Amino acid sequence: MNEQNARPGTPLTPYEVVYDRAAIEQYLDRSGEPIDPYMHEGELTVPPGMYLGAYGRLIHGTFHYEAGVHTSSELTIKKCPPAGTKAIVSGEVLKMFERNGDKYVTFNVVVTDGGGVCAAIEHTSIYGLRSRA
Amino acid sequence: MPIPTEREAKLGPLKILPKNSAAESKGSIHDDEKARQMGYRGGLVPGVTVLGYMSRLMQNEFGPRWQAGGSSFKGRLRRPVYEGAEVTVEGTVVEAPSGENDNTVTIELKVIDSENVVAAFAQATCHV
Repeated sequence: MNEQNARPGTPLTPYEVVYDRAAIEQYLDRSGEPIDPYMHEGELTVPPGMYLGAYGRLIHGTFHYEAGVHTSSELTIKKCPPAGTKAIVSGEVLKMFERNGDKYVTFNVVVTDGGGVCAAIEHTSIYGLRSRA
Repeated sequence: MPIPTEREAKLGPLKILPKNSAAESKGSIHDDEKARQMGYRGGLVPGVTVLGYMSRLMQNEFGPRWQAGGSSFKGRLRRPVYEGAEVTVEGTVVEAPSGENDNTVTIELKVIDSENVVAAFAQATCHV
C-alpha cells in the first residue's frame, strides 16, 4: 500500500495481539518503567502507553514508508484490561497531506477486546521525509 | 499520596534516560546510519516511547484513574530525542475537576530535552 492506492478510508490489515505479561514487561523495559504502577490488587494491567505503539505493526505491515517520523498521537482510553487479554488492532487511512516539503499520513487505530473498545488512537506520521542535511 | 487536582499544581519532574529500542531497524529513522543521512545527529528514539514518558507520569500521579475509561491524551513531537540524552518530564494542572467538567482534571505535559528545549508536549484529561 502506498500514497497512490491508500486513499482516505482505506482499511489497514488488522492483527491480533495478546497483552500478556511478557509483552507488558517488554514494553516497560523499552520505556524504562517499573511494573508496580500497573499492578492493581495483585493483577497486572495494560499500560496505556502500549496503545500508542499499537499502530506500528498495523501500519508498517501495510502502508509503505521507509524513514517515517512519528509526529503526533491522540489517544482515547476506554479501558486497560488485565494482562493476558487478547485484542484486535484495526484501522484505516484517515488523511494525507503535505507541509514544508514533508508528506504526512494520519491513521485511525482502534484496539478492541471481546468486551468492546479498549482504546482509539489517531496517529500522524511523516511518510515522505525531506532531508534535514 | 494525594492526586494533583488544584489549578497550577505540578506533576513530576521525572528524569528519564532514553533508550532507542528500534536502533536495529535498518533503514528506518531509528537507525543511526539512515538518520545521519537524513541530517539528524543519530537514530531517533521512537516517538511512541517519548509520548509514553508522559503517560508514565500520568500513571505515577493518577494510578488506576488514568487507566479508566474517559481518559484522553493528545501528544505532539517537536524535536528528536536521542538515546542517552536525559529528558525531564513534567506537568501542570490547567483545569481543576468540577461539576461542570464531569470531575475531569486537565494536565499540560512536556518532555524537556538535555538542551532544555521542549521535545514533546501533550494535554491529558483524567476523571478523578
